[in-house]
Amino acid sequence: MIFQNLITSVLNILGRFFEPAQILFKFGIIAILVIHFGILFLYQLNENPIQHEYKYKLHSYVDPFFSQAWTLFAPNPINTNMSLLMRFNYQMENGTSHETEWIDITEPLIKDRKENFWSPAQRISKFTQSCMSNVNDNHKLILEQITKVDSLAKDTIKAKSFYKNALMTTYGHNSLLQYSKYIARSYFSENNIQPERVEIRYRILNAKFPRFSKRDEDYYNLNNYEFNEITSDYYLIKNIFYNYGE
Amino acid sequence: MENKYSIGLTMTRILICFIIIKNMCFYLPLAEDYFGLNGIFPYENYIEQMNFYGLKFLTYPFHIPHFPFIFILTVIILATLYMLAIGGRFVGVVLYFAIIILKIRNGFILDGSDNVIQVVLPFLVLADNLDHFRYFKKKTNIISNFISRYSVIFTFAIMIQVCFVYIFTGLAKHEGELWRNGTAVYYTMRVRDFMATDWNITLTKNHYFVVILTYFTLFWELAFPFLVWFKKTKFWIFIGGIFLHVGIWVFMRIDNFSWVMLSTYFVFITNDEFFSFQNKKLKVFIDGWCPVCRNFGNRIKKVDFLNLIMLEDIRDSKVPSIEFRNKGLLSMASIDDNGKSSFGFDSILKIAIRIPVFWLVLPILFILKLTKIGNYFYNELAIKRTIIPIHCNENCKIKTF
Repeated sequence: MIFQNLITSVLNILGRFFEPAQILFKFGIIAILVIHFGILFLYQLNENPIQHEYKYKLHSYVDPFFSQAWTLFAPNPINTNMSLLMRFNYQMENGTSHETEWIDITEPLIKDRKENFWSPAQRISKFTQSCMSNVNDNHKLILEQITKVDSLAKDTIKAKSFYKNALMTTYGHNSLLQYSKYIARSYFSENNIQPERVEIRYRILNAKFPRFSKRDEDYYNLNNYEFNEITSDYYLIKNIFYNYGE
Repeated sequence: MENKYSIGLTMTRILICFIIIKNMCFYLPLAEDYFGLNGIFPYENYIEQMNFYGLKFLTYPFHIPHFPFIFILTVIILATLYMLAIGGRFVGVVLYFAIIILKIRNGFILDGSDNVIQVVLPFLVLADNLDHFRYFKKKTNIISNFISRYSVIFTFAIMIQVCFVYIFTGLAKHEGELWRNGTAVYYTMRVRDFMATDWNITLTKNHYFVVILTYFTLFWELAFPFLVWFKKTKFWIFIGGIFLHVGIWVFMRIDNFSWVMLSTYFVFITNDEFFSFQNKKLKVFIDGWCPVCRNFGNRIKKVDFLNLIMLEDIRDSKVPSIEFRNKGLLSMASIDDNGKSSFGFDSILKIAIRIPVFWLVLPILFILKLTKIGNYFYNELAIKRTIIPIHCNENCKIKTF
């Protein structure tokens, strides 16, 4: 309260006795905003030498408070149907191992969104899409790097290990593993299974539907699609059933 | 200095808060899964990012059981308070930081709409958006008055930010092969995640539909930042925007982004432009013996910022004819300035046209009118309404103006 009164008094004095101060203040705000939008403008422009020079400074100013990512469907819209599938390999208390079928994560979310104008599934769907895009992008980048480095390109075992380690540092991969706990929790609860140990592997299925020139082909006939996939190794997942503090 | 954009700013505040509340209500049952220790985005990444951004002091303990739920509930309360202008700018600032924390905790579930809210909110808080739709009367506060002197500057900052959204998305699209060759809409409407209706396939088989909509989207986005500043072109560009965003919502189920962008259009409309509707008053006749109708009338008056709706009790007031009264007792009657009478769902539509909060749902109301579904539902409700003539006294009268 005292602090507020103090500020009020100072502002009052400024307001009453220094009319030009107000004008100056106004121009000060305008100047700050011009600089602010100038930075945002530079940040969002195509890569150019000035942007390159101040790259880190620009990022540190813009993120996280003024993030600008207005690239939905740009430069090109997504033109492939991405599906996320998961399967679990689990061990029971008596030592027996079992493997589940591939569980389609994407299909129920799409169905829910289609049936409801407002749906929480939209957020989960957005989450899985972001994870898959991230894994797809990193997958390409890592493979590019492997082909560029001779020692990796010539040694399959080394390349495989490099790929696995690099992928494990990505947000997309880690988030998918984290999300798999959520799926595992529902799967095992629904089927009344209490596993001792659970491993998960995921598959990202990229299905390219008929291109514009073939728009009259049957959209729902999968024979008209082109497929490619990324399948992960098995990863151990812990803390499926809310063990806080572990 | 009086802010000539105060009504538009108020509208944007209400709608943005409404969208935040809606989002949080969706998060609430899944709060632990979205944001908790074992949430779908790794908790350690959140801690890492908070430290990276130098925001360690803002780190919220999402790892403690039930704390994610409490956080979401707090955001709902903050958004409700801000929507009703309780707590003023202070609540707005706290709400802004809460949204930033949520974004860092799990950015993967957020979309473009959250990003727009995040970049618009700081300027909205500084601009005078708290003049209307207040729960309590406005108190004079020297700090607030001091900030208000510069409100117009912050209002323009919101406008520039909205223009940035469109110009940069337009420029990015312009670089895409599919946008340039006019086929992008084919892919956006057919990709399974955004294919909301079976109509998408049929519509995109038509190459005229695909090419025209692709180029319309591209040119409209690039034109927005230039044409929105002129009175003559502003409303045309808004009509294009409503068409585009409602289309995106219906056919691609991208809801939040569409509504948030549309809500920011109100900022561009001056109070004078809102008041140019003044000569479009509507006299609405409500059945004073029906509690639901009275409640409806009183609620309508609360959001009638432009003061265009005049409520009257059809049982007490002077009406053009006995037929009018009889028909008005069956379904809500209204008379516009030209003396044209409307009944039932048509009256609802005329009310919605005069109340900016309802403008976002106008396309839906028009569809309901064209398909006559609106009239059907109205009649169903009107027939089943309760009428209490005996208990009615002066206290249950609707407000008349």
